[in-house]
Amino acid sequence: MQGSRVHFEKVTKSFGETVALTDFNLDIAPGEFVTLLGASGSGKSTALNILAGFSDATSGEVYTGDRPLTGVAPEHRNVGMVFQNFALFPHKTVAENVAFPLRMRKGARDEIDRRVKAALEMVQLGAFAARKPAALSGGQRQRVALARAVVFEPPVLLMDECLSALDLKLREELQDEIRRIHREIGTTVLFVTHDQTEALTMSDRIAILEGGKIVQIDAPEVLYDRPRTRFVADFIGQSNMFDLSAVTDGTAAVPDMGIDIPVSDPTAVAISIRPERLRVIPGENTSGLSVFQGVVEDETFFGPVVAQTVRLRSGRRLEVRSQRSGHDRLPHTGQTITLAFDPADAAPLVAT
Amino acid sequence: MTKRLTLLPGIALIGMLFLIPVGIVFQQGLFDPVFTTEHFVRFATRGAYMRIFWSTLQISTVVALVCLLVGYPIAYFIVRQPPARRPFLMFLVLVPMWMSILARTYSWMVVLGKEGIINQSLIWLGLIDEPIKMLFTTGAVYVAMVQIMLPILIVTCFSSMTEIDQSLLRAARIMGASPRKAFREVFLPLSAEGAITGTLIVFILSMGFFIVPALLGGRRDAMLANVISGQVSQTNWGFAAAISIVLLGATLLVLVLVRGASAKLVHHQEEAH
Ligand SMILES: Nc1ncnc2c1ncn2[C@@H]1O[C@H](COP(=O)(O)OP(=O)(O)O)[C@@H](O)[C@H]1O
Ligand SMILES: [Mg+2]
Repeated sequence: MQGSRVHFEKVTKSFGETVALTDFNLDIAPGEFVTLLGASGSGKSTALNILAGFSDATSGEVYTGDRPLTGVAPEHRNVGMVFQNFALFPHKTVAENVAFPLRMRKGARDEIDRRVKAALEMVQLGAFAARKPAALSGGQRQRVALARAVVFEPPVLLMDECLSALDLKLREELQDEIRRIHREIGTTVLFVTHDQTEALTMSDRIAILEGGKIVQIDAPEVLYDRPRTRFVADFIGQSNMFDLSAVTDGTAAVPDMGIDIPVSDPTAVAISIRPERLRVIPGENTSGLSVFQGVVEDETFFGPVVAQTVRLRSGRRLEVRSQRSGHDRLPHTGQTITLAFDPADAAPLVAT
Repeated sequence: MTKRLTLLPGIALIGMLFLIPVGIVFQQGLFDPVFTTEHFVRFATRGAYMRIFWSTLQISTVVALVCLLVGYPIAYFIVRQPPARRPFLMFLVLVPMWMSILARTYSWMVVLGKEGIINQSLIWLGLIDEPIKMLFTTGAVYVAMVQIMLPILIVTCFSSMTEIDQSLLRAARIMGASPRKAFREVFLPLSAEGAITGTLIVFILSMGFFIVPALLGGRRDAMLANVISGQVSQTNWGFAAAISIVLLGATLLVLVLVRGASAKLVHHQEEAH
């Protein structure tokens, strides 16, 4: 099966005074796995519901393939969906639940049976066909919901925070399973979560939503290494952010560090440095690195990694993560240390 | 064991208020003063009593089904409204229940009578010359009983409908079901249990109805409860008790039959446990 392209074009949605989506543009390639990541209330479900046909955009258009969807009822959109609370029919057995979309499409009886069986096998629930959803565990229900959403081979699959109700171990298991199924059936997936780890591990690209707007959309590693705004830098992983003076001739001052660094983006107003990109240096070769000093204030031991809070002369605090390799001893609380980073590891941030 | 002990007051209360009176009724109906089936034979062999028995069953069944047919769509309509508007609509449904059945029955006399509101209006509009006979007819009994019972059914249906997860209907739609199909496949089966319960409650209450047929019905519209009351006022305790037993038995029989049939039709969520 082939996934189809999904395209949101200048979509807006308001509920009375509340603006849920503004200028929402998203172009998803066929077969791509894209995640909408954002805090609660950022408009993730609103975007999915407009694509599913449960609510109409205030303006703008959504396409699957080349087909505009305005005015198309949900049942004619040929989109699969996994709901947050699974939404399994409690009065139907597992097999009847999975057969539902096929029955609605008026398939032949034995063809339906065959595909239901295959779908249940795919999620390792072949033995549970005759059970009612109430007799399943949370993880099993999730698998049934997944089987039901893909059994009719929809070119587009939507998932709305469908793993957030499960405990961590189960969630990781199902993340792997969803990835595997995505590879097997090749459908286009639009996945919604507020969990950054989930987004980072699963997605081809992640769209970060803030207040109904996509503030950045990129591959996970780009998003992590090169956040474009304070919001993204803060939302994905941990980050140390420093204000910059105006960038002139590719250089800007970092007042908190008391140094100048090269900055590629002339519109940058701040930089973001991940804690693990800062190095504590006892006096090794510092050529090409930006070097400054601070006092270790606190440290947390994680085994192979130590996290230290360092206070700079300006009073600003920052976070450093160091690998403990070999016998080298890390400086202790109260000690003044020298920190260095490669300016290339400092992501320039623009004002919103 | 202490758990059981705390149940004792409840059991004692049920015993005093329910089992003892029912026991006395059975004793009155079956012993006079030695064991006899005389009252039941009399009931079964007099055509008039059997006719009233069948018409009581018929009225109760029709009232229950009409309530279902009218009340289910009303409950559905209310559930489909935005949540903020529902309490007011349910309030409107419940207002009539604050009035006693007696008061409501008298109101129907005012509405349906020869000089009642309906006849007056129709004459004033020139649609009829003579008042239509509406009071003291079978129709009047049906109309008033349905009006009195309807809120009960609506409330029962409504509460079972509000428990249906709205995302189930969305799930049905996105999987290819038209709104009508989604209703048939999901909403109807999940609300059937509540609808059947409501219908049975209306049926049970109707079987014992007394005031409405007495005040609004004609001479041939008496129900079993009216006969029982007549026999009691003539101090025919034994016969009155026997009719009560027949009424109780018939009601229980219908209850069991309908529950049995519906258990087969409606899939229960609990089945899977
Ligand atoms: N039916 C609705 N009526 C009014 N406001 C709504 C409705 N649905 C969503 N909203 C509002 O739109 C915004 C986005 O909601 P939603 O898309 O559900 O966020 P998310 O799924 O990211 O948590 C929120 O401020 C929410 O309160
Ligand atoms: Mg949501």
